[in-house]
Amino acid sequence: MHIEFEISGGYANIDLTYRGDTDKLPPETANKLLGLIESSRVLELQQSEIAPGTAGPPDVFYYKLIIYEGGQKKSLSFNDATVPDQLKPLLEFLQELAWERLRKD
Amino acid sequence: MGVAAAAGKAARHIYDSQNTMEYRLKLIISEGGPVVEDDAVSNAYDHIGNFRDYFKAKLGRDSIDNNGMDIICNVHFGTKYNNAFFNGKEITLGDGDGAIFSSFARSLDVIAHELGHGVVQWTSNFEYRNQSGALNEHFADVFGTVITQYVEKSAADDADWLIGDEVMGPKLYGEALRCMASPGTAYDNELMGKDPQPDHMRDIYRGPNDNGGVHINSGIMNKAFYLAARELETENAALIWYTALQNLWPTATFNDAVAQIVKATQLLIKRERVRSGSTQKVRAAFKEVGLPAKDETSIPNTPTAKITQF
Ligand SMILES: [Zn+2]
Repeated sequence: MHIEFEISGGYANIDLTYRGDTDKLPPETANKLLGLIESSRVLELQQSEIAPGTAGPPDVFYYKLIIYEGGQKKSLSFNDATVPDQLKPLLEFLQELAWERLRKD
Repeated sequence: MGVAAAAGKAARHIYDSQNTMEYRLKLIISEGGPVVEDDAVSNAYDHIGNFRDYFKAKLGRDSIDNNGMDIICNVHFGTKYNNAFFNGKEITLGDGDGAIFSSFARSLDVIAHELGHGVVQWTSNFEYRNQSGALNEHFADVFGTVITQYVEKSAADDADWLIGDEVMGPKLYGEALRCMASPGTAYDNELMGKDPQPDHMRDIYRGPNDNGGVHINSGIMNKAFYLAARELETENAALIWYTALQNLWPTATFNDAVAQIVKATQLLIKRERVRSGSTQKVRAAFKEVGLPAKDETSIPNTPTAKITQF
C-alpha cells in the first residue's frame, strides 16, 4: 500500500508532503498504519461525507490523503475543523510520520 | 429591531485536550480559579487576559464580540501538534514537536493573533482568501504584535516586529515566521525554505497556494503598519487600524483598506485622538509599499485561489 499525505497552511504556512510504502516501512510502523487504516474505515469513506469547507477558518492545517492499493486510488481532503472523528487517530499518526521525516532530513 | 443579547463577562475557560484532537475535553481553569501547575494552561490564561485587557483599556472593546463573550481555549491539542488556530468559536493550541516548534501556548503573539482572528470575524469578517484573506492575516498579526509590545512595554523603535519567534524550537532558534519590519527576512533554512513574504505591491504573490497567499501577501500590509507605527507610535497606529477594521467588509481589497485607514485617521484627528499630520504619515507609509495600487485589475482578488479543501 502506498500513501501520500500532505499538510499545508497553518499559522506557520507549512507545506509538507509525506510518502510511504507499507512494504518498505519498519514492520512496527507499517502494522500500526495498516491497523489505523482499517479501524478508521478510511477506504470506505467518501469525500461527500466530509463537511464541505469554505476558505478558512483561519490558520487550520489542510490535509490531503491519497492511498493507492491494488490499482485503486482513494483521495480525501479535509482540514482541522472538518476532519471526521473516525479519522482522527489515523491523522495524528500520519502527522507524526510526516514531521518525523522532516526532522530527520 | 431585535433585543441585544445580555453582555457576558468575558470569562476565560482553559481546557486540556489531553493530546487528542478533541475540544473542551477537560476544563482546567475558569475565570478567577486557583492557579494551576500546567504551564500551557497558565500561560494561555495569562495571555488571553492580556488580550482582553488591551482591547478593553485601549480600544474600548469588550472581548472578541464586543459583548463580553467568554473566551474558550484548548491547550495540548493533538500529539506534538505544530499549530494554533481559531475555529470560529474558540482557540486551539498545540504543544509543538519540541524540535521545529515549541509550545504555542507559551507565546503571547500567537494567542493574540488567533484571538485577533476572532475580532476580525466579529467586525469586517474578511473572506479567508486572496487580498481579503491577507487582510485577515494582517490584522491578526497587528493585534499579535501590538499586544506583545504593550505587555513588554516596548516601543515601535525597539520592538523586534517578529511574529512566531517565540514558538521556534531548538532546530530553528533565532528564526521567526514573519517579520513586519522587513517581510521576506523572517527565515531561511533547510527545514522551512525561505520566507516568501513580499514587502511591496510589485511583488504581490498571484498563485493559488495558501488560499491565494493569505499568509504571504499580508507582508505588504504588515510593512505599511510597521512604517506607520514608527512614525505615529504603535498605540496610535493600532487605534487607527482598529477604527478602520470596523468599517471594512468581507471582500475588501488592499486599496479599500488603505482608503478606510486614511479615513479613520482623519476622523481620529477630528476627535483629537491622534495628532494632526498623522494622515500624511499614514499615506507615506502606504506609498512605500506601492499602495494604493493604481491598476487594480492586474491584482488577483477574484476567487482564483485554490481552496485546498473540498
Ligand atoms: Zn492567522
